[in-house]
Amino acid sequence: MGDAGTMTEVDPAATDPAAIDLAAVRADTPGCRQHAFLDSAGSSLPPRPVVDTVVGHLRLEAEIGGYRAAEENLEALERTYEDLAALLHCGADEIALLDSSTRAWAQAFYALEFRPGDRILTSRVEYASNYLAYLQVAERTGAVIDVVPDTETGEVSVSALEAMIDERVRLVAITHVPMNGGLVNPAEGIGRVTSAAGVPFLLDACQSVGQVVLDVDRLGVDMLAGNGRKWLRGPRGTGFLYVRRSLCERLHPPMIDLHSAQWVEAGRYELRPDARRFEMWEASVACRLGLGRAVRYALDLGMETIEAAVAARAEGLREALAAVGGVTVRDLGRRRCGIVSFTVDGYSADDMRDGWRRRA
Amino acid sequence: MTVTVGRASSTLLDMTRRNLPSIVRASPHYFNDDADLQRLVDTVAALAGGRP
Repeated sequence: MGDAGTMTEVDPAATDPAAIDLAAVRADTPGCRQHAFLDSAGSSLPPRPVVDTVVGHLRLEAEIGGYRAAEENLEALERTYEDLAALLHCGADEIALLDSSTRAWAQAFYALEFRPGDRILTSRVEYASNYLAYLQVAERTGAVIDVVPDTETGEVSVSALEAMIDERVRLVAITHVPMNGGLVNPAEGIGRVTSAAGVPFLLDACQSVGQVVLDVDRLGVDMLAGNGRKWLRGPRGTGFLYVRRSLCERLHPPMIDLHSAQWVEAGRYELRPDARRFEMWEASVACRLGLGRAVRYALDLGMETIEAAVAARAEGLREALAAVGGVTVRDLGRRRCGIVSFTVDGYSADDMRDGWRRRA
Repeated sequence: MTVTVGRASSTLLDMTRRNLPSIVRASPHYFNDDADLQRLVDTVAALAGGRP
């Protein structure tokens, strides 16, 4: 394979949006020189400044202890909230730092109250962890899960969603980009429907943050969960939750501690006014600093630039794979992003993955 | 080369409807160059072409 001029060549013109300084970003990414790393939707390669930030803080903890180290890096820690706010176009007080996207999503979801017959509207590509939570809450409360139909091209149908809205709909919860394919669900259209109906919109941005431009006001999102380790190239064990200010003050986190609330009198407590009511006190300060550094790295490159570069590489890959006999590209959707899913006739996905891992 | 596998149990509604037990997932980032992408294409083509 790889004969000159065959259709299965990756077309460099198609994959080069020019704005990325490839030599510079590759120099920051030692792992990418060892092998073809194509799993940023799983857990990406953190760039050198992120690694240095995390390791640097761990070294500081070893020298002066975790509490004093956190105090010394307090400003940098606050900057993580500010940079995430810049990334999502929201206020720093609307951000909570958690240890994963799933945790962040659950903190928001389990803060909502459901009564018998309340409806949760969701998508067909919903991630298992989210759907398991719907099933558990439905079992406990008598709420009902309704899946919004797709359009012919595979994304959530905004018009079908609009038709499903009634006074029993308590939540619209959608996975922005599914883990198993390249489609991008039309969050902006969904947000217009939920805003008009006054229904909270929870967006799982686990697979979109860091590769797709996100603006919570433009999308009409009320709550959004994301993580660090994937497209943002942050450390593992990092995630975050955005909660719109006007909604936050009405939501009680499913569990609280002395960070999320203050014990003001023997029989009374007060929740923090900001989104940090969804956090608990203990966390990896090193990883939070690393997350902040990863967000800054993305902001410095520019999210528009990153989105264009990722989409172009993925589309070039899709075209070349589709031209290989026996390969079926499985991505749905009109708008596509950096996830390329495919099958090869006669082979299981596990056989392929395991065989290739042994190669360079 | 590092790619991953997406299984039906992670997105059950979608994979069941499309009758897919699993898919291979490749997710290039901006730091991947054309050689990275070509390596995957070549590997897949060698495998697909080597079928009995």
